[in-house]
This record gives sequence, C-alpha cells and structure tokens, in this order.
Amino acid sequence: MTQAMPPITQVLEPEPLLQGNPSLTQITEIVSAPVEQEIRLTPLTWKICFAIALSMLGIFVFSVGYLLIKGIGIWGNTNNIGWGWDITNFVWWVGIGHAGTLISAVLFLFRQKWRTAINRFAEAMTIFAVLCALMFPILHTGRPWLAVYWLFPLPNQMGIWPNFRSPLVWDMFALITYFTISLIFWYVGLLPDLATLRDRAKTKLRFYIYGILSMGFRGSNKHYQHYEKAYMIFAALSTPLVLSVHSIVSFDFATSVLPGWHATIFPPYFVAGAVFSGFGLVMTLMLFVRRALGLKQLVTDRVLENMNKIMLVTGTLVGFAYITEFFIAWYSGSPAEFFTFKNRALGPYAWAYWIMMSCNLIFPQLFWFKKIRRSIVAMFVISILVNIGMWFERFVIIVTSLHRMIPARWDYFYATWFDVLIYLGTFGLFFTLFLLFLRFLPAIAISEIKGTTKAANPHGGD
Amino acid sequence: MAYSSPSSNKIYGVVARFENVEKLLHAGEKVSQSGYTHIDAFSPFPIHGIEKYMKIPRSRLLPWIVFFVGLSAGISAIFMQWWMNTHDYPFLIGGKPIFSYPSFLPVTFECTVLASGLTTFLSLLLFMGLPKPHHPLLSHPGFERVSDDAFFIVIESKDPCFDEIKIHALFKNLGGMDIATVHEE
Repeated sequence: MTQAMPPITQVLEPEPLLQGNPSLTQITEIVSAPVEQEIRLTPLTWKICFAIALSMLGIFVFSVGYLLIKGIGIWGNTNNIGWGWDITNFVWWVGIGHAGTLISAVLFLFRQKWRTAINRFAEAMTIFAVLCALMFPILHTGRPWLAVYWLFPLPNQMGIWPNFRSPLVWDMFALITYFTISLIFWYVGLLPDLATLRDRAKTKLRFYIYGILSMGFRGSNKHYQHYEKAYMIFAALSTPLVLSVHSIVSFDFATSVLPGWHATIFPPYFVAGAVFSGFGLVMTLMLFVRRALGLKQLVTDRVLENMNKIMLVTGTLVGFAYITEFFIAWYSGSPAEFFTFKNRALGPYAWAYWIMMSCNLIFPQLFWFKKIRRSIVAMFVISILVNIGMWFERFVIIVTSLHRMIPARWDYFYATWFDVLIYLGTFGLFFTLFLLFLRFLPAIAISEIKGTTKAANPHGGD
Repeated sequence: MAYSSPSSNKIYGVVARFENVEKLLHAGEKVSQSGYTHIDAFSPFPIHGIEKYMKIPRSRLLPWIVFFVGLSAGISAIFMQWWMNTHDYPFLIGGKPIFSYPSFLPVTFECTVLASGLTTFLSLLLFMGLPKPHHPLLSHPGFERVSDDAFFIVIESKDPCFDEIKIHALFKNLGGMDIATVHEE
C-alpha cells in the first residue's frame, strides 16, 4: 500500500572542481612550491628515482650501442617473426602518448574543465613517450643511418625517392608531426606558467632561465586573445592528428595481407586502445605524483574518477573490437582468418592472449562500480593491469599472426635479453625526462586551472 | 595633451591594480566608455568575455594565416608525392595505379597539420610581439603579481586623450589600487 509522497526538490551542489576552494595565490603556491625547491634540498625520493632512471638510461645507451654494432640478430626476431618486441614496444609507447593529446585537445573541445588538473602532466608524458616510441622504428631498420635518411624525401645517390605508399614512410611523417605539434602545444601552454615562475624567481639563474623561456609573457589580454585562438587551433589540429597517427600506426599491420592483421577495424581499434593504455599510465603516475608533490587539492578524486570513466569507455570499445574481430573471423568463412583467432586463444600463445583478455576486457569493467572508481588502491592496480594488458595485446597481434603465417614454417618467438634491456632502457629515457620535468616545470597548468575557478568566471559560464 | 613628468624618461603609461575580475571588468568598461583606446588589461589567466566590456580587439587574422599556409602545405605535399612517385621516378608496383592518391592522403594530412601547427606557433609569437624580455611593465614593482593573483589595467601614453593627472583621478574613482605612472626604460 503506497501513499503519494510530496515531491522533494533538492538542489544538488555539483562536486567542486578544486577541493577546498583554494584562492588564486594558493593555487600558485601549491604547484610552484616543489619546483622552487633549492637544488640541494631536492627530496630524497626524487634523487633515488632519478638515480634509478639514469641507470636505466645507461642501459638504454649500452643496448642501442651494442645493437648498432652487432645488428638485429641480437634480438629474438627470426626469419618468420620479423617483428617482435621492437614493434610491440613502438606501438605501446605511441599509445601511451595519445592520452596526453586526448586530454589536452579533445577534452578541451568538449569543454571539460577538470582536464586542467592533468593536462600539463599528460602532455609532458606524451612528448617523452613519443620520443621513446620513435627509437624503435628507427632502430628496427638495422642500419638506421641509411634507412632514416632514405625515409625522408631527400635526394640520395640512387636517385630514387621514398615510396609514399609505404606505411613506414607514413609513420615517419606522422610521428614527426605528432612530436613537433605536441611539443609546441605543450610549450605554448607553458608560457603563462613560466612567467609565473619567472616572477617568483628567487635566484638570478632561475630568473634568467624562466625569463628566457617565458619570452616576456606578461598576461596581457590583448595577447590572450591571440593566445586563446592559437590554443583552440592547436586543439582542433591535434584531435584529428591523434586519430590519424595511431590509425597510421595501425596501417603498419592493416595494409598487409596477413590474417589477423588485414582488417578494417584496426584504425578505430588501435586508437581506442591507445587512449586506453595512455590513461592507464597517466593514472599510475598521477597517483604517485599527486601524493609526492602535494597536489591532492587540485587533482581531486573527481578528476581521478573521470579518468576511470574514460578508461571504462575505451576499455569497453577495445573489448568490443576483440569480439568483433573474432566474430568476423568466423563469419567470413576464411579458414586462415578463423585459424589465426583460434590459434590466439588456444595455441602456444594462449598464455599471452588470456593475460591480454583479462587485463583489458575483464578488470576494467570493475569501473562500472562507483566504489571502485573512487578507490585509490583499485584504480592503481587496474591502471597497471591495463598497461600490462595493452602491451600483451600488441605482442599477441604481432607475434601470433607472424609465427604461423607460412604454413611450411611454423615458429615460436623467444625474447632475448637484449629485447628486454632495450625496453627497460626506454623506461630509463622516459623517467629521466619525466623526473626532470617534475623537478623544474609546473606539473599542473597553473593559469588554466585558475581559469576554471569561480573567481575567474564571476558571471558564470565560459 | 601629455603632461611631462619631472623624470627624464618617457612615460609608458599609467597602471592600476584591481582586486578581482569583477572589479577589473567594471573599471575596464568605464575606461573604455571614457574614450581611451590604447588600453590593456592584465591577468593571471585569460578573462573570458572581456571584449564585451573593454575595446580589446579579437584575434581575426591569425586563423586565416594558418588556414592558407596549411592549405598550401597540403597542396605542396600532394605535388611532392606526385612528382617523386609518379613523375620523376615512377613506382611501377604490380600494375597498381601510378598516381595512387589514396595512399598519398596520410602524408598530405600530416604535412598540412605540421605546417598549420608551426604557423600557428610562429604567428602567435608574431602577434604577441614575443620574445620581448624587456618591457616597462615587467620592471614595474608590484606588477609581478600579474602571474599570481592580481589584475591590472594600463592606459598607454600613446593614447590621444592621455593625461596623466586625469587618468590617476579616473583610476582612483574606479577603485584602482597602487596607481602609478610607468616610465620607459
């Protein structure tokens, strides 16, 4: 027996973007404080992490040197399995980079104010990740001093030009464009914050360095008119750019004829996967950094939850792509295609396949539950699983299609120590640059995050 | 009619500080209405909607420059690929079309984006007049708060109606703080 209840109208306050409603000065303080630490007072944690990163960079230099002297034979690649960890790592690192561009450009176009808490950080990760990624297509050519030159449309002694039908040539143009645009976009975004650091500089050295880098930016609204226009143009350029770059990377596979590779689903599948894995690493690192640098007031739980939602969406897209691929492989009636997919799930690489499936398809689905979206431990664990799962996805795609592509020559890929060392080495490159970024540049876009506060928009709205 | 100050340096303009965005917009509106044209507002972040209150020109030329440079870069990229793969050393691969324009699209797109991005960056610097590490305002004491939490309005001496005393009074009426005359270096 139900009684009609009078309607209860309750105005729900939206969760604040920034915790505790910090003032503009407080925001400046929170973000600038770790950067302005004197060198000799650098926290021990940073020094230890930097020492580890530098040694891994050393491993990188050694592995690359040895590779250039001895050749690709030191890797586990065989005649059949022409691509192993090299291209897996390439696609993995490029994918990591895509989160930054998505946050900077796509979320900007969608007017998501919460992006200002993480965009600087993620863009920096993009630049360093793309740098690491670039290493692999360059090195996997075996004689990069020849190959890289010949990939550019420059005159050479043979009088021929690059083959513009080749995905490798497309990759080269795409990655150089992506790296350059990301770098410029990041730098333009940094200008007001470099000005902040210049204006707060306590030593002459910092004053000159930040002064030169900020180019005399002084917060003029006449300038801001052009600045905001340029920022919008960068966002509008970067959005199709990020989509095209990973589509071009997927073309490395899709333009071939191998079963399991030659599928039109690859571009959207790869782009979704890239955003997915990128957010995984942004989340993993952000959880450490926001605690280490005391940024919890600015990178709030709401921001983290939104990142988890994006991981949920892109993870579901990737899972959907897996199912579609498998369905089409069966529905197509192509015995080679169907065999490839059965082989992935039940063949010698089943272990890799099921790691990939559980990490990418199953665990991120836990983010449907709000408790899990808000649990720091859960999101940390899941973000790491996403990174591992996405590495295995690329590994499975590459190696399972290659190892049985020639019926007369079935093979099995074993990684060598050098595969592992060079991969670890790229982590060294990434973390060295990343730790330097955290030490000397503001990890949060100070001017942008101030622009989202109530103080900046007294009349409401944008 | 410019009032020349006792100092031997030329005057750059008069600056006043305001506590928050509301006060700045209110004051800026009055300043614009009083007929001053060489004015500017300074803030730690871009103030949206400022063109409604103050006569600060919008950025109109920059996007067109980017568009035309990007377009020419795209056309050049197609031309480059045509010339290199179809004309100078034709790639005869398995009877496939020699001018395979679908294959040429990725590189064309990337070249367009690269050129547009670089143009955006360089045009931005050009329009902002940066790098300009020395500026009278940057050496004005108290102005460094502009990148923290302070908001300023400046009326430059270039303005035809510039009158130092009148402007000081105007800013005082509008609630400006730390009103000062800034000299050229």
